[in-house]
Amino acid sequence: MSAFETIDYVKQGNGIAVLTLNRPEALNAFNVQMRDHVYEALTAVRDDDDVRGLLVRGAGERAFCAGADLAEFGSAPSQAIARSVRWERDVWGLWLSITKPMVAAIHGFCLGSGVEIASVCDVRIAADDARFGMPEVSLGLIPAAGGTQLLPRLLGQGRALDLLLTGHRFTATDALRYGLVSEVTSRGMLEARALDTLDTMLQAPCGTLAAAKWVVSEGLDLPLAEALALERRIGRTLT
Amino acid sequence: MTSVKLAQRGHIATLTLGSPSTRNALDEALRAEFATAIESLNDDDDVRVVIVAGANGVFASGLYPLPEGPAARGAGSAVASLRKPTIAWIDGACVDMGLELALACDVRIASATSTFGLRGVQHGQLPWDGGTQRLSRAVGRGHALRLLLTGAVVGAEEALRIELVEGIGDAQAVADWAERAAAGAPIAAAYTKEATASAHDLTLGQGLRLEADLSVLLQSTADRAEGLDSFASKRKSRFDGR
Repeated sequence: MSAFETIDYVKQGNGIAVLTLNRPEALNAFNVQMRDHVYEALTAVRDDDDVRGLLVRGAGERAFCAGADLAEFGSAPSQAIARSVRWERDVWGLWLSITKPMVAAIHGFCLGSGVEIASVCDVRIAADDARFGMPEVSLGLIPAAGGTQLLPRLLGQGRALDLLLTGHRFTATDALRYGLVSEVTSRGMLEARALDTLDTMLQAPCGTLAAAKWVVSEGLDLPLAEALALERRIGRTLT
Repeated sequence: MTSVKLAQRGHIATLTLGSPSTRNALDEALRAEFATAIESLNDDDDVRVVIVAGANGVFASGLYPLPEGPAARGAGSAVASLRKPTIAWIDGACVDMGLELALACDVRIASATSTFGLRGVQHGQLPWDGGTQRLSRAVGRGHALRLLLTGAVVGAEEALRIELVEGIGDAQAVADWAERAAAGAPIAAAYTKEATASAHDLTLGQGLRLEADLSVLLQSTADRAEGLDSFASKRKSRFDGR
């Protein structure tokens, strides 16, 4: 089972692994230790052929993830050190590079880094009790786990700036309307719906899923003509 | 300087276009006046949020040929140069150069009776203040081409549905948005604008690099320390923009 203090990582045996952010006493706030544990778990997700898809969830009744653990922000080293630390264990780059399907099941508070964790997943499903927000600017910060890049891509520039510049809290229904989540369900049904979604995706061959995920990500960074050529090139490797 | 009125309350400035005889048409004179006002706001550290509005039941309008020379500058490109949060308060017609101006603001809130459209193509003229580019980025290729090629004028409900505006509301909703944005740290807000604006132009990997660098750079600001301290001691933060 799980060997980590801050997360729970369990393989279900059916190709699906479940990564649970597990600091419920701190609303699953993301701290340095959790970053290291998530990094190790994601390395396993990437390398373990028995794992074909990942469910990401939060432990406890109250939160998916209430954001970064600000208690650790006061002890910032120099900017030069902070910058090199950011890339030493680039958990966000690793997360985005994994080509296995991932679904976030979001309940309770989902703030700041919580939204960013959900945003690096492929599909987001929310319980009707989920509450979202991007409080960074109100704390003198900016999102640093991809929020400024992924939210404009997921929601459009205007809505992303609306959320980022005001930090206002929004509901699961709002998140559905904004396009941040694709489905809202009851708390009781949340995990079943997320697992159903993963099951559906895993009906497809692994290689095709990986190719689709990779070619969408790469293609968004390319001029259309090059992206279309890439789509064909990758498609031919599958047949 | 009479057609652009500037009012300031706290850290929030409101620029109101008020040229009733021309329905706030952004002619050369109004554009110049607007650009001058924007420049003064960019340099004024006391102003942290800018509301752009129109008087007399019109947001803004106007269809003018692209001026000669490299200095041609629309109201949209002027407002896009602001390093602070901007919101368009749209109450009435928001068409042609008026819609280009609204599209260049960070966020748009419209009254339920507002109307939107870019009619230039139907008059043999290509929009030149960002209309073709900011519209397609805001609403996607399909809606952008439909609106541009037909010159259709649509209402607020449709504008919200296709994500041309972020909300339908009243002046109070706009004031509330501005208050929330003004409560944020000014440098963090400026960096957020810079990072999100680059999301269209950079690859994801490059954008993540920029975001991380700006985030680290913020560690040098007094506002970051203030934000974290006020959070830890559960009090309201007071940002100085330093």
